[in-house]
Amino acid sequence: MMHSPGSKVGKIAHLSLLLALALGLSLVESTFFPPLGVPGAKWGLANIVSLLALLWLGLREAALIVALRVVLTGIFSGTFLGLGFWLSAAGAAVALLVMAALLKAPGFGLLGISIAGAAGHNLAQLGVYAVVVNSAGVFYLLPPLLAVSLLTGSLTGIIVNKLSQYKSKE
Amino acid sequence: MLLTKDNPQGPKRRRFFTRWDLGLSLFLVLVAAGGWLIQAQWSPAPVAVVRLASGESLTVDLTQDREFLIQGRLGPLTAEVADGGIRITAAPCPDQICVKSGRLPAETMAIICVPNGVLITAVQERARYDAFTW
Repeated sequence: MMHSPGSKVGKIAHLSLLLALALGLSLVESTFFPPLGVPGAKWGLANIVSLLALLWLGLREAALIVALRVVLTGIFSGTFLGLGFWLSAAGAAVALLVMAALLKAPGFGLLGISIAGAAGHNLAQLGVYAVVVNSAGVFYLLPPLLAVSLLTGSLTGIIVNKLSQYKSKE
Repeated sequence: MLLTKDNPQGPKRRRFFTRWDLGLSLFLVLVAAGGWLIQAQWSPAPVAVVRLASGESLTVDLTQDREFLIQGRLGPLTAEVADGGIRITAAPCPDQICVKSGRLPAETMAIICVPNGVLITAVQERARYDAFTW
């Protein structure tokens, strides 16, 4: 029996597929990708899925995927409700909201939206760092983190641009 | 699930690059470069400050080579002062980001161990210029 992506079953399958992809990318990044040389900086491969989910499904579904990805990654890595979990949650939530807001704005392209998401992710994590370490001194790292955001945001933007050509068959 | 390229029934594709993207990228470059420039105006004095999440702080003379322990939330971190800089050589945290950060101030702008609540920065004094203009 075939289910179209517009049906409830199709939607669940679509969500599950993107969630699996996000979890896989998080695992690949943490296992195989080299650190970026700046404390707290990440490649943000899972952001590819967040932006694709925003493009294809909308904010509510994208938020569900991001929330499940953060929770499941936390459980799998043993950091659930620990500091790494909250850092990840703050970064992912802010990145998603920034990208959703810029998607509503007509002027921005996928590259800019992706870069803004990466910058939002890093700024949110710096904010959590500042609270945990109880010092605004962590913002010394703002210039290199913004530079890294340009690099990683561009990379994910290029990938999303390629993948966004593919849409679910209605 | 079957995926097709450029499904004509799908929503209009988002452009990849626009002037707004260029503006945003330039803005981030300017903020990053401005931050670097401002930090470059401040020459690091040969001391570092170790701040703990409890609010305690410790000033470390970077001209005197030595090794000492910093009590973090998870346990002691081993700090080494050598070659005019400070680095963490051992820490009881899972990711070892503070150890991988390298030597302050030559290799990193700050050493942060979030699980241990430890932040180390070089003390900076405005020294090179009285004023600058352009």
